[in-house]
Amino acid sequence: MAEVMDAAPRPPRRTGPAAGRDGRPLGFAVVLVLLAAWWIASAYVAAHAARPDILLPSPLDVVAAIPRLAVFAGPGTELSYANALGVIAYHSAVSMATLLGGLAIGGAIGVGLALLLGWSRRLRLVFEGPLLLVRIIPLLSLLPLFLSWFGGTRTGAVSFVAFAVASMVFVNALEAIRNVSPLVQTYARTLGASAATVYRTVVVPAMVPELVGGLRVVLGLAWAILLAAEFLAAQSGLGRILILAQQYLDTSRMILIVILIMFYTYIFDRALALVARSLTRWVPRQK
Amino acid sequence: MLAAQTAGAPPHIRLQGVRKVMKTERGAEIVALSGVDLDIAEGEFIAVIGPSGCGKTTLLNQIAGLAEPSQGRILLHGKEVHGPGRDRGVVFQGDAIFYWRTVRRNVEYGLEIQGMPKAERRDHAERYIRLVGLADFAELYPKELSGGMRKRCQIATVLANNPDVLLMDEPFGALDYPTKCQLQEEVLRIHTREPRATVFVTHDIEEALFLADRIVVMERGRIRRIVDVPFGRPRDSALRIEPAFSDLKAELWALLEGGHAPAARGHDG
Repeated sequence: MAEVMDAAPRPPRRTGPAAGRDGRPLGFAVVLVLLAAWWIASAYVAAHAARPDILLPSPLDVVAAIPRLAVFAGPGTELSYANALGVIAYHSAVSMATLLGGLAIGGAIGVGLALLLGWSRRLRLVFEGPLLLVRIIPLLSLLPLFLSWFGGTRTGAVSFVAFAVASMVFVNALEAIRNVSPLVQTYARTLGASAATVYRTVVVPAMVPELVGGLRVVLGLAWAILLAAEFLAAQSGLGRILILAQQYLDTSRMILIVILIMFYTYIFDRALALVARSLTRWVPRQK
Repeated sequence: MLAAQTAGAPPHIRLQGVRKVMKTERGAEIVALSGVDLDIAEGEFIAVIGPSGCGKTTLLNQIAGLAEPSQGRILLHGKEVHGPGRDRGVVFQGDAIFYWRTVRRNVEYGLEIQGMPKAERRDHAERYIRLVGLADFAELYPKELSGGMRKRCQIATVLANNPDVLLMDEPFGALDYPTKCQLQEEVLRIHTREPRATVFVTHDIEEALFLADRIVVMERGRIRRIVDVPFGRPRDSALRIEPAFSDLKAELWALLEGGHAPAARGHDG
């Protein structure tokens, strides 16, 4: 009888976004293969190199290094998992606050400037050239300059991230504004909308998908910018303890911190993708 | 019902000696319209036909206020037209639709920017959504609609705004034949229910004959002839296969084919 019960029709296979999960077992297998490759390579290095722990520690060495993160809480701190967790929490919080602050300030400035220039032809003529010039300065070359201006302060790191984000978001947002369909804007005009109303009710909503798409790239780069700022000019944060680990020649700890940053980057990207999906439900997608 | 229409002065359009000269990228001048005179009465349905490049869309854009005439005037209720306005609704050939709004919020757009209160706006929009047969699709986004449904949405949006004049620029040009015929019948039905002065640009002779009271035949920026369409209203699809319909269609074909024959004025043009 139980077999008859089992024969009940199954719910239809889900399609749409969920259908993408079909690729997951394969992705998981690839990760396992890479992990195995790492392990084999580290075994080879251990057999042949003088200081394998510096060159390429094994995955087990890296896990064993977790308590050693506690050292960043200050000299004499007991090297325990609990203290390591405290260190991770503290420096992660510092880095994330910097990142989010820089993203919020820089994003607001970038979008704001693009909206102003998108609105006024005159402003565009005057400011577009100089602003694009700012965009072509290699960002990292400005880091020493920010160091001179702000010293090793959190304000300096936030400012640097904000500057980088603003310059990237500005270009992206201005392009998004330019790509808004002229037909739809004309249509709104014939429905009685003033130029300002067209800007508010057509240009602004229509630019969102391209803006959000660009933001995912910006978010990835923002992490890199943040770490660079913390390498050089911070007393705390994940970038700071990463560079400290390097100075101790403790490769296992470096790998731990890199894995942590990868995890955060992934979480941020997924969160943004979720927000993006709800903001852009209306966008026609190519099949 | 049509509260915005005032009694007394009937809404009508008058085109006086409209000339439009356009510059090409290289600076050469092209006369897109020249010496166009046309009166359109309240509730009258005008179709404009002609070969591509004859100036029919330019003519429509002048009335819509999307371009200013180089010479001459366009009067609406005796007042000169400058720039676009909600008194002249335009249904475009392309996908003029607010992609980020559902059908309902598309139709509400014109009312919303006028500041109509939400509840009133909703009722008003609902009527036009039903009028074009989209009641079951009101909460969908444009990407979820077919081309014909998106066109219905556009028509509902423009009508909900209650324009004095309806301007349609080859609105069904991109649709398949059955959808096109169906929408033509919808346009007739709506015109019977809410008659308003309509200018309908098309390259399709049958479409023009089926819909219009008068057909303006254009050629090289000028009105070549204005043809009266004798069929009464209401009309239905049976008209399409009537001999008189085919005869007039053949006549218009000959007129368009005859290209460069000396311009003859129609009886009342």
